[in-house]
Amino acid sequence: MTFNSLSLNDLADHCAEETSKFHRNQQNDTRYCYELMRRAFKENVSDALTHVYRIYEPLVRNWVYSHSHFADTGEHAEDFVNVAMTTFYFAVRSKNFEDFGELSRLLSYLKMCVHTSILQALRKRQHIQIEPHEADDESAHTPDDSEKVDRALDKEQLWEYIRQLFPDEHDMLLIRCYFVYDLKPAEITELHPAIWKKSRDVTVNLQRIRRVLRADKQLREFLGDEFEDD
Amino acid sequence: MMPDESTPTTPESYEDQVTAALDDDAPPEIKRLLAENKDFEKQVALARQFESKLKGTLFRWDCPTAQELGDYHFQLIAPTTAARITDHLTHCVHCQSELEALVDFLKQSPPITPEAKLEKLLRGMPRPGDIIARLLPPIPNRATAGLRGDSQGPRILQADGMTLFIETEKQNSHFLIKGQLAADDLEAWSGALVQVVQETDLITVTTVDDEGGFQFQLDKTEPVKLRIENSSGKAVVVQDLSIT
Repeated sequence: MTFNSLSLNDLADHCAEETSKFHRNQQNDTRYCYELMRRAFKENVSDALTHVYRIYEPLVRNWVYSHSHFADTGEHAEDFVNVAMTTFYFAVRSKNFEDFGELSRLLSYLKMCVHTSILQALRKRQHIQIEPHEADDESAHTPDDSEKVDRALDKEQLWEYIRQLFPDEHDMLLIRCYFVYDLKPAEITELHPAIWKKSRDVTVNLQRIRRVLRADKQLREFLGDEFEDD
Repeated sequence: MMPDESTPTTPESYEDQVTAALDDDAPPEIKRLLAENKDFEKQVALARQFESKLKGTLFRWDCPTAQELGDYHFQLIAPTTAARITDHLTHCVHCQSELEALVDFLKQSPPITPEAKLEKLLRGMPRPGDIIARLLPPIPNRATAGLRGDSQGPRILQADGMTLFIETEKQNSHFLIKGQLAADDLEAWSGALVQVVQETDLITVTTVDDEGGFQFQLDKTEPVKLRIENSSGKAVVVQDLSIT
């Protein structure tokens, strides 16, 4: 039997059966599901893709529920199932299918897509806690690729400008820890004990840095009209 | 803004007092100043807004996405990007933590549990950020009825600069649904995923071709929900479209 001569429905039935055996911890043949995925992702056969969704959605849903941070997101599992499957589709299509080699690697990658969908939601939640309006702007509509590039360039320019204000590398490290990673002085001291022995040292330096940043006219203009001098 | 009599005389020390007031562990004299001096309170509010905006703009600005970190772990990433991420991981505690969590998660093998009813009800529902397509008034059928045989005229929907034409053809015991996207950025929708849901069941998943077209078959007459999502994560949702 050659797998690529099997009808799609037969292939899907075999894949479903072998997947069921896998869930019952029984010996199973992975070649049917691998061929189904190959037709779905490499040959872009819609019906094969539909079968992949139907067979693997329960597994993906299970992974979502079992993720240690799922409950922290406050969102529904169905949303992550959808994001994970969609991410998996576009990611596998963008790569060389043969690089996955075998079903177990494909399924690991699918599981990874569950993890990344939850992590992205968590990052967004953290962002909202830090600056509600900035995060709202970004979630009001999904930016397309060119908008993402523009925003990335703006931030890079901002960072370069701040680097000019603070030529000392320790100051830039502090700015990164405090503003980019949102770490507290005690956490910064723990990470960099060779540079700052006590939290107080971090606090004093941060005080100076924050004073300079708030006073900088160009920075205030960059961040918005409400910060410009009258 | 110069301080008044109740505040220190140098602008630097005044600004340091503002900074102290921004932090959770401000000393009692700063908290008193905040409660008693309206100008100081206003300066602190403005400073808080500024720092919040700066933090919001810079928060993890150069971190790889979670997906890039995943691709890095699977070694499915270009060498230059991998090198950049390796360097980034030497100083980013958040990305280090996320990568460790990924490795742990991949090792787990949880038992299968049945799908919750509530989750099934949510299938096909729009999510925050989704664009909901709006159905326009129908085109009168008279001009085209003779040409179309046993099918309706197209339904036309609009969504954020995109027009979607949906046509239904009855064929023996099922319906053939043909969709056509029209948009200035049509190339961004080539290869987009189209998920078709009826009631709470996923009926089929298909893709948009290079010319913006897609089609699928239905056996039941219940209204459909469509979710069309492109590789950038932009999604258009058609809610409860009647087939008959």
